[in-house]
Amino acid sequence: MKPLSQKLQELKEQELAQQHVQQQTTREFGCVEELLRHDAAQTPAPPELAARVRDSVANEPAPKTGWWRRLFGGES
Amino acid sequence: MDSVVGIDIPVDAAETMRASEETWSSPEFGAIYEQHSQPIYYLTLRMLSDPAQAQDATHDVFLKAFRNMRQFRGESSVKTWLYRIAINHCQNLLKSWNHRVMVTNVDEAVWDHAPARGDSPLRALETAELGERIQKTLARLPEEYRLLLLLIADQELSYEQVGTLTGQSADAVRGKLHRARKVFAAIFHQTEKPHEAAITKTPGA
Repeated sequence: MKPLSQKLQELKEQELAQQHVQQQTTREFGCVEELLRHDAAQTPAPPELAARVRDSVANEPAPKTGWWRRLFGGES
Repeated sequence: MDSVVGIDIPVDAAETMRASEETWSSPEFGAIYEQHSQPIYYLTLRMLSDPAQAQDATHDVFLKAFRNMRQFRGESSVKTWLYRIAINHCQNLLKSWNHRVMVTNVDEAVWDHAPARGDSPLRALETAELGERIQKTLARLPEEYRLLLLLIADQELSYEQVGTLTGQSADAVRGKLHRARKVFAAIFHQTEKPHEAAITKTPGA
């Protein structure tokens, strides 16, 4: 069984370590936009959404003219 | 993340494949989805405050884009066009949910009580809850401020483009953004938990 002083020391070390981690993850954002850009970068679109959109598009009638073809210069 | 470009199609399915599937499988549409799905999803998520609704909205935006592709004249960028569709879609949903009246009074109250914090840096713990704090803050902003901040945060959009998307001049955007930033910062500080405040407090403040 550990003596009380050792337990206290361990608790103190744990607390300091926790504080250190928290301090490391504190970020300062110069403006609201910067904060939102950071948030956006951490917020990817759900991967399953691509398949859902693909399936829905697959059930649509074929487009007569693709705007992306005009955009990319490949219209026939 | 599964790539939407170069999707493998089973042989038996290929026989019944329709033209639209070919379109989706083509590099162009897949590339457009890959390039723009994240900003569109983020906009809808933060506008609607609900991940499931944001998924539905993003899906609908791309489907509408596909359906209306012939109307796109190339006068704006694809991204701006998709943003336009997304904004209309979100605004229609928000109107139907009757969100507008709820936030206006909150804005004025915050403005009156905390006018000076908007220009100071925003300190925040980089935790899993940060997104939740941002969401709560945005949800308390008037819809117009929320939209302006989200659009201007996209570095690819100019003040002029944001003005076009929101139906006002670039100068009007600048003026409203100044106020929107202050209101956001004031509310954001209010959402800080006590233990976070102790950690993120500026020395000497």
